[in-house]
Amino acid sequence: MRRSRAFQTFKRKYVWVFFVAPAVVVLLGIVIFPLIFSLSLSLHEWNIIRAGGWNWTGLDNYAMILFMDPYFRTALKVTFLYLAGTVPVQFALGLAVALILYRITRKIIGFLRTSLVFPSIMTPIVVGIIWRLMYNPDMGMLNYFLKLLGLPPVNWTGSPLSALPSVMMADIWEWTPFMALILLAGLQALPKEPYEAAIVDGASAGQVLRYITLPLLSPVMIVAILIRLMDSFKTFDLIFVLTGGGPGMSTEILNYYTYRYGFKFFHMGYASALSWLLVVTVTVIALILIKTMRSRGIYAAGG
Amino acid sequence: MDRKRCMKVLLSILAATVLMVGAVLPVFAVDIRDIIKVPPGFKFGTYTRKPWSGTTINVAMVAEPRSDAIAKVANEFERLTGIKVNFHVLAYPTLQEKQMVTLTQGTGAYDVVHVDCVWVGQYAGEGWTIPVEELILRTDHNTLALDDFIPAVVSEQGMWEDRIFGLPCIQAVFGLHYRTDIFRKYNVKVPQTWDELRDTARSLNLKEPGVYGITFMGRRGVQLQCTYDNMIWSFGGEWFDENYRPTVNSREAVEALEYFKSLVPYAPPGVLTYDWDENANAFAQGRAAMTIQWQNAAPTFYNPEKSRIIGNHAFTLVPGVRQPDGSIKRTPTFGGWSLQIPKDSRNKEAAWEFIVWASSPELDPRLAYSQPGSRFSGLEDSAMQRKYIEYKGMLEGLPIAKGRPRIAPYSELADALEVALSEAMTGSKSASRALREANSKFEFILKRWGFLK
Repeated sequence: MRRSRAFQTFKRKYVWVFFVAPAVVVLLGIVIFPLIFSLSLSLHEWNIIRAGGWNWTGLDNYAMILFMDPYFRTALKVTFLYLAGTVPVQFALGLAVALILYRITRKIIGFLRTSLVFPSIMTPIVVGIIWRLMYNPDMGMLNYFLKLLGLPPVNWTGSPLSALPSVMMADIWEWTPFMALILLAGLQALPKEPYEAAIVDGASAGQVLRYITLPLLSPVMIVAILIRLMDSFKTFDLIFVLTGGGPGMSTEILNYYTYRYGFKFFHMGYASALSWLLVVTVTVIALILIKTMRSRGIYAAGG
Repeated sequence: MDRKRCMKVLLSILAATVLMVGAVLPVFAVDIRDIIKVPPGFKFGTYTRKPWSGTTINVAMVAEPRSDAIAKVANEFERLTGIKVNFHVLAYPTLQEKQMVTLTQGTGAYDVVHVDCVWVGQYAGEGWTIPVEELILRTDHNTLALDDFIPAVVSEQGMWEDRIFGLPCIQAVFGLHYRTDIFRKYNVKVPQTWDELRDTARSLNLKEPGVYGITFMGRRGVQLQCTYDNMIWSFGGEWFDENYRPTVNSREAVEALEYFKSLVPYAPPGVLTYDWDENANAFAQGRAAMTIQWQNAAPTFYNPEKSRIIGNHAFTLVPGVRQPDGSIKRTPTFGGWSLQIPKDSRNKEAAWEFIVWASSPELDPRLAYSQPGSRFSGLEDSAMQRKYIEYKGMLEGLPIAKGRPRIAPYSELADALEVALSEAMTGSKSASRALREANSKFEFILKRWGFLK
């Protein structure tokens, strides 16, 4: 009897282990372990091509990246330009689209919503190839339309000035709907009372937007921006298909640069150090955003 | 006393023997005679006996037409030898990755690997593949016909530090494709020097509506670099000198790049986004009077589904630089593959039997429809020359072709150079500045790999 009761207590006390364990194991296996592995790798020199395994080099990889590698700074600059050129535009357009869609209450909304997500659910490589065809300077659709309007053709991905904006344009096309959908969901979840109060007080539409909708929506906005920001940092497929980092280094963002070091030149330690720098940068930016969110007294769902 | 002396002598003799054996043993330890097992009197390539009947070998090959063509007739090989062949025909990057992983891990997954000429230093130099002289000695001369291969091809694709590691399979060389109808109409001669090439491009540019003077592969990448290699070498430049000191910022290199850039005005507006496909298509669609391209674009030009210029194009040597003695120095860029046997293969003998069969002179003409071979007999054949327009130009180009550096950091060096070329061609930096930066990057890379102190 006593033993069985002890077993019962044990079961009640520790049964959670069985529920939590699978998740913990999976997390350990696919997140924590690779993180630690790559951190340790980043402190070694290891080139797959060469015989001989890992050679301890301490912080050499990081020092080399930060102080010797002439292209790292270029890649970093391109990355930040890319972020600055895509996320804010996606946000502004996404917000506008969300506000418009919010007004539409007729049945067509279902159709609109579905067609809106198409760019975001397409395989990124397909998006890249479609845009590559459109950007083709001789046979592409975009230059055809420019010609119809009597404008000179643009060498979209071929010239160092227009290559990065061209990639940004494809990115904006692909991810604005995602932004719009999140913001639309946020709008639809807003409480009705403040709006009713505003109507009673005789607020104009502009005032309602400025003083009620936007402040109430800001937690969702920050989350949406955060997700896109982290995603943009990791952009790879568009660059890979559209420009391959060229012309020169004009579209070589950090993630692509890291890929080349890892899988083209096989400097695994160096590539790991590069990815760790990427992780640190993204984390710092995310922390700053979350902090401003908290300090303004904005609550985020689950945060 | 006597005994002691005796011991001393004995000991010293023993020590000497041990030393001698120790010194000689390592030489034998890596000798292939320990690894391969061939029945006495057996000759590869005669197909009179089938000692490896029932074995299955795994062959990795790059996804190019000739690989598919070989796979298609592999049942004949099985009939001749009883050896079954599993083909792994893989796209370039996948092949590179998979072969590298299996060879460094020593899994023995592949019995035959396909080696790009720029990987030879890595595969043979790092000891991933085995030298095959002992196998060659045991091979029927008529089936192997080693002297029928173009020597430059064998040494560039199959040899490393004076040893043979494999036989050529798939061949490429740069040359000039030009439109015979346009050249005839405007009475233009085929350009022999780079200056003549530019003059011809200028004079033919847009003479016919929509037909530019020249087109080439200008997108940042390996093709841009290979095109430039034709120029830098003939101008007298090199990537680095014999001590691995980078020289890619030399006067000759800058001159070559400035020359290359001066072709842009006579090319289609999008030329700096062209890779292999775009460039071949542009020429096949009749958008240019000339193109500097590998010979392997020619099949696109005589393919009725893809080409509008059938019967109106020819292939010849790349132009060069006129030397003080009046001769012209031409350095067509060279590319190609060889079949090699990994150290960890468990069926080395069967693998060699396959390599000999796949590159035999009998099979060569039957594979010609896919891609040209590397043999004099095939390229010289007048019937084949009539059928395949590029053969004559290849026969001229291959013996004088020049290979890219084959050291392990090749792809990293190439990438640094490609960035500089692209920057200079698009005009975002001057040729001298771009190459100066590439040179310091070269130094950084060569130091890291230990080539440069």
